[in-house]
Amino acid sequence: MELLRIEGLKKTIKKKKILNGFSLMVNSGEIVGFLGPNGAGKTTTIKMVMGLFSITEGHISICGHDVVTDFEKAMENVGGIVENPDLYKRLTGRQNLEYFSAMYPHVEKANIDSVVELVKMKGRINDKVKTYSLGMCQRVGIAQALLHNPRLLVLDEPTNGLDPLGIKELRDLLKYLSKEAGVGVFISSHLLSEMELMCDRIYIIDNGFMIGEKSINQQNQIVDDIFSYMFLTADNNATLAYFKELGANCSMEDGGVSLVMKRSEIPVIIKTLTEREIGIYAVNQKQRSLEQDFISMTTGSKTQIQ
Amino acid sequence: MNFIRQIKLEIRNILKSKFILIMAILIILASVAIPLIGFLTGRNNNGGGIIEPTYIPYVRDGMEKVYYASSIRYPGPIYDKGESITIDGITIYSDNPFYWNLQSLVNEKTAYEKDKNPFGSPAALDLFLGLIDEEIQYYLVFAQHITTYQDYRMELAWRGVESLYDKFFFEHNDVDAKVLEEVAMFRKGVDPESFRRKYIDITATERLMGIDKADEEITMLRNIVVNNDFPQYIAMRIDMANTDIANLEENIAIQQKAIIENPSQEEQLNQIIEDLRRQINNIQTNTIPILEYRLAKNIIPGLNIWQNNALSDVENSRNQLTYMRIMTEEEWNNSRGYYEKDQGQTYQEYVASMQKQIDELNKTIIIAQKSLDADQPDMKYVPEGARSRTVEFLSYGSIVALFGVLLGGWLIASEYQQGTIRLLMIRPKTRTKILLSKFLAALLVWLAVDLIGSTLNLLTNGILFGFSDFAYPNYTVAGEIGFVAYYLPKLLACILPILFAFAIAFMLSVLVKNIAISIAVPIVLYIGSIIVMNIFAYQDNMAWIAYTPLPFLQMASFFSRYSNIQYIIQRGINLNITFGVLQLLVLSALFTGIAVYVFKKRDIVN
Repeated sequence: MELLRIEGLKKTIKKKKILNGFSLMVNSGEIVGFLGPNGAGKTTTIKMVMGLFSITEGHISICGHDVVTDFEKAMENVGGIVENPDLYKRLTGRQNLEYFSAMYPHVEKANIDSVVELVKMKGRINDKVKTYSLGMCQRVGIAQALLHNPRLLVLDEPTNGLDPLGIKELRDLLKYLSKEAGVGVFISSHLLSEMELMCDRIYIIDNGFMIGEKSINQQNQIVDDIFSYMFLTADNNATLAYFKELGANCSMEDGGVSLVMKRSEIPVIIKTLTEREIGIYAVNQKQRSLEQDFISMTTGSKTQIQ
Repeated sequence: MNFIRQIKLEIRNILKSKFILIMAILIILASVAIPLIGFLTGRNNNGGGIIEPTYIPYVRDGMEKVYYASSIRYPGPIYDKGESITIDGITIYSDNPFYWNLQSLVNEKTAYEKDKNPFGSPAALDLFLGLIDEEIQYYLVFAQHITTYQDYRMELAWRGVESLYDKFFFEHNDVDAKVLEEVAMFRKGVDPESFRRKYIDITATERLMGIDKADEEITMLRNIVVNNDFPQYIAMRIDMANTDIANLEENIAIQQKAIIENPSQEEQLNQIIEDLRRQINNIQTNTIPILEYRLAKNIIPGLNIWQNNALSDVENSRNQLTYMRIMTEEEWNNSRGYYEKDQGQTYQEYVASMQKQIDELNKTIIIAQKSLDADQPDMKYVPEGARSRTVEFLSYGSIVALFGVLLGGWLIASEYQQGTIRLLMIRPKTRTKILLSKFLAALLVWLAVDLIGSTLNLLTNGILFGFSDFAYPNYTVAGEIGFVAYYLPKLLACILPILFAFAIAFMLSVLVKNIAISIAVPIVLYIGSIIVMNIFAYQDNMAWIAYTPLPFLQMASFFSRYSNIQYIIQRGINLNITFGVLQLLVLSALFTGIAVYVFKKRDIVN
């Protein structure tokens, strides 16, 4: 089911074109990533989805409700974090949640208790927010997004301030929600590794234009059989010479030799290198393929940010 | 139901802000503290508080009557006694009204006992000292019984002095005439010829008659003073009034004779006769009945009781009405020396102005009379009573207005400055609803502060100054109104300036998103409006001010006894409270509307 649909979205602020017209969508059960350089228009887009920015041109609808003409119904179905979740510092975490829950039709005390437990804040939820660390604020931020069991989650840099365990917890939570509860997640982040681990699809945006959409397979890899591998050996020059003999796509890099090949070919290469008495220290799959794609596709932060 | 829950949470959020909470508590405490301070300071000086009368029993005509005099503080005041003088074992302190008389007499006596030079003979000196002694004894009696300057018997001292001299000179007219004359001249300065005619060249019978008459007078006065014989005092005053009438009638006769002799002067003389008649009428219908009323209701002049204020209102107003006559157009055209006429007043305006003054006087009389008849004073006669204080405390509304500015200026701007605005706006409530529920919550908070404070003030006034005052009605020409009916509309009207100030601050809070500016600007404007009102109130051509909200920002001043608003109204500028209330209401709605509009349209950048 289609949870979020953006069509032909344009945004102009003081004659400057921030968004130049793009479309995207999120279905239930999906985790969709939203990437782009600084100043590309990610936060602007998310603010427009959440009703914080006005729409210059285009349409946004959540669960079929247009966010302009049917604002309240649209907002009932979405929960979100936009930039840092600034909570009311003089209230406790719980009082903050109670305050926000009052604006939803069907949120009970039990809901609050369950989301608090979900974000693991049960021990500190009754303390004043001004005593919280950044990570705790972030957790409460996630809690307020989930209070009303929304069908769509819109998250802007939600891992900001979380410790590594917290990041993993969030990742597990989002996966759980999307796979078991059919929640759709629209998440923007700079942590490419996280995005690779979590997302089903990724949109890439630059200078207000949508420049790419990619699917990520279930093993969280770009759907390609061929990868780039790094060989760390005792005699990298000899290794490089050998690869060149094979006619493969290879190059010398920091500390080793990279080679583009199929995974199934690794044992053969190792055997040959050993026969040639070239010591092998490690064979690593180059993980940052998304990063390579990203950097090659976007221009945003390469020059001065516009 | 959800809506109510949200408002409750909004209110809780507001009260969680420490500085708002502390301000609210301080303001409410002020409503109790201010009457308390008034109570404590009023006790120490007699000017403010209620004087406790003490009762002196007096027997007359075989019936015991009870009259009250101001509290006897003799011997001496509680605090610093100051100087004193002792005569015949009686000590008089310097706060006694007669202290200075006695002191100068004693000083004179001692001076001339030493230095006998001024007198021609020892006999003269002796006589003089004897006279001084008499005067000392005379004033001593007064000093022993009269301890405050407001005592109604004070004037009797001066009245009796002539009789004192009369008696002395009559009694001693057997000494050498020259000696007597010398003493009289020295003591009070007399015209020798009339002196002789009165005291010396008389028969024995005349002498005795003179002595008796003087004696009678002195005894009567003494009786009034020593026994506090109020009935006799009244009788004396009525006698004097009747004498005045007789004199006036005599005067009329003289004028009538003069008409016959000078017919050309008839018109002016008739005018004089008419004035004289009016004066007689005033004495008969005003002065004497009031004296009789005082006797009947036992209202002793000089005491700080409301009945005296009411009676003097009646008496003075009627006196003024005696002399107020609306001139005919012809007379007015011929008249000179009237400021307003020189300034271009028309005859109609003159008539209207005179009629207004007459109506005011009649109104004063009616209110006073109703108060006296019912023995329940109108609020104006109990300025230190609970009612008056509660009404004066309506000015508390301006403190609440400042609190409203604090609240309004902080409410939305703090969300922007704290960043919580983002979490607020992603909820399924339109921006209008969110803004208005905050507006309503804040309004309820300052409204509560206003109502709680006013109620506490009313109760505190009742406890400190007596609840009985609240039971008395206020009077109008048409009828009377109970205190609640009198006070409640005024309290509600005073809410409007608070709403106005709050709405401005709220609007700025949305527009500027800065707490400090949103609070400072309305406060500066408010102070500016007070300055404008105070300065321009006294200038001409300010009638337009009645159409601005400016005067109505000080709504409480409309209900206060003395204020610049009262002054402006007196100058004829038509300040209509209903119009002012509507103005403030409409403008408040306008400011709120602007706030909602901007809030809806704006991108949340913070």
